[in-house]
Amino acid sequence: MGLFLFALAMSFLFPWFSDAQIIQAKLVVKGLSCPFCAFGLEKNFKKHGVGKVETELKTGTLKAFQIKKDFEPQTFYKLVRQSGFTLKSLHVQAKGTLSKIQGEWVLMDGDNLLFLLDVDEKFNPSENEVVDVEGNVSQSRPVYGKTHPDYPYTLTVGKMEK
Amino acid sequence: MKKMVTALLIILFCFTARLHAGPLTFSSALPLPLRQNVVREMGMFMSKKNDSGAKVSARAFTTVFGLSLNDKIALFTMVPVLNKELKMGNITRSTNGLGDVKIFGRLTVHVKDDEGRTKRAAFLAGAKIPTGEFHANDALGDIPRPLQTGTGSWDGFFGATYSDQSFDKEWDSALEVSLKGTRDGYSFGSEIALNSSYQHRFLPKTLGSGVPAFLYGILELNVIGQLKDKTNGVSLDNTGGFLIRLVPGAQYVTKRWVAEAGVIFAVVQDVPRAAMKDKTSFVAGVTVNF
Repeated sequence: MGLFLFALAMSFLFPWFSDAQIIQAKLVVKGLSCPFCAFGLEKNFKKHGVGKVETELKTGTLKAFQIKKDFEPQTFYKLVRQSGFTLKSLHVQAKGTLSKIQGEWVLMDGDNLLFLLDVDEKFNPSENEVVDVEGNVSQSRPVYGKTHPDYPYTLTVGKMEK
Repeated sequence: MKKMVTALLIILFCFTARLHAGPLTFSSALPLPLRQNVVREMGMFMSKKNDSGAKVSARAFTTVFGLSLNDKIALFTMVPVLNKELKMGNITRSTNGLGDVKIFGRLTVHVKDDEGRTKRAAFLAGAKIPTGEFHANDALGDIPRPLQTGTGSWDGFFGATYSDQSFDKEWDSALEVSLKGTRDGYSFGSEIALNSSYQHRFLPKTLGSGVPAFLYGILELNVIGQLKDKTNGVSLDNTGGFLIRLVPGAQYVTKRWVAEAGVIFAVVQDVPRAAMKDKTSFVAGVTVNF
């Protein structure tokens, strides 16, 4: 709860840090097994702010590009579920500002905490840096023994560019 | 003649909505995504004959609309337009027009998704609404009830369906029970149908990139039992029976549309002696996503 209030306060103090967004995403979808099934999935994504979608049936992969600025991580899960399928994995490339809140690295925009980050110190993260990150997304890991409902997704950073 | 036309109705009413690459003649449990609207147009052409030379032919064009309410519930509406014709010597009697509309819901109760495979089970339940004409007459008087485009009665039906789809093949099975109402003293016999379908992908031989179109070969089995029709509570001897149909067909599936066709062979017809026997029937259809 403290982390959320701090992030909310940060959003008022630093409104100009509002360039955070998900740039592209790669989803692996379970249950996608025929051509006719792919249409509804693609239509749902295009209706919710994804400009371009590429589906590959063989691998059950959907790639999302031209994602609108305020697209939230939980929307990927919601759209796959609404389409009648199951999301197996989500890999994203995102851009935002690094922040450290109560010892936890987060990726921020001016209004929202985009992701909780699992970032290795080898990437030399430092606060208030604007970075491009890439990695797998999962449901939030416990922090101080509790999961946080306000930012339910953790990005495990595999690549970081400053 | 009555039994023959009743059997035709059996075939027609077995056309519950199937709105995916899936079986030709019954519903599957495959998902209908939220915001995906689907329309299917099916045509069926059938004929029956008896030893006296009487012949009935029927053409049915059924439009099916599918709408998903959420990831578990979908609603379907089936609107049939029928043409039925009976020829006995120099006598021809026919009816044309809207048949009885069916509406039903499908509730998905089990989902197991894997990469490139899905297994699902669903329940169906709905009603047949008496929108078709059932009092048509001609120069010879009232046209017999089985030859009418509608039954005049409200009917209920329910069932369960199971689908197992992977890239290479699909199995579907369904059990459907149709309970027939009574109108003006006449009721068609209630039915139970056990259906099974196997679809095998022939093309492409191996999956490439993107979303290629599939060509499936299909083989279906319909096992149908029908109780006797009744008029004023008295069973009509020349009605009811047991039917097994084999339906080989083909289906071409793209992302936006499906085209399919099949031939319906009645391989077992355990019907009253005076009843007409099925000749080979044909079914074809197109389904479109939008």
